[in-house]
Amino acid sequence: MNNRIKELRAKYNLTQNDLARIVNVRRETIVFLEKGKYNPSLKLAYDIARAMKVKIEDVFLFSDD
Amino acid sequence: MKIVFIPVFILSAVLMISGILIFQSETIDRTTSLNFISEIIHVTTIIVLLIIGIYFGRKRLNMEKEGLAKDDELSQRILHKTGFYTFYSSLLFWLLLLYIKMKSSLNTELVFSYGFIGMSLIFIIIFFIFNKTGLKNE
Repeated sequence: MNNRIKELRAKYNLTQNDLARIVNVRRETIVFLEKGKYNPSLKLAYDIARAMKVKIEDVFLFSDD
Repeated sequence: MKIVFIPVFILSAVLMISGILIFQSETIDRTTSLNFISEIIHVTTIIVLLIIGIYFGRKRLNMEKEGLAKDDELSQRILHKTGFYTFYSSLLFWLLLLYIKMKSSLNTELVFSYGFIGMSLIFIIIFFIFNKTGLKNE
């Protein structure tokens, strides 16, 4: 699963700390998400999408493999 | 007392008490080089573990001050998975210690303290590995 968190974060001029504070996680979690080293829970994915004002499928890109 | 220091306090207490018990033990023959080297390794390991514990305690305190979450779903999952792997690794570790104890003249107190410190080290090593690699595709 890929994601566009870094791209959207840049678009809204948010730092990793800012996003972490909004969705109530540690900054390290945002780092892992951006590097694709962690797949978030549905709730966290929803919170991130809401923080970016987009739909979940616009942030997280699912693939069959 | 800040709740973030409780894990550091527990880690410190266990390691310090095990260290004190070892140093107070009169059954350890300190004239043999094996036991002497073992004690040097103990002291060094205890100090390193305490420094790591204090580092994480301070880090959590700073995060709390900055208004960031100290724990989240990833940290909880890393802790659970670390605990799981530590449990199985520790079983193997104790088995290895039992074998070494049977084959050598290593003192019982030293074997126990090796067990305590080894378990702490296994936990920290696995914790670092998961913190570095993340939990992908789970």
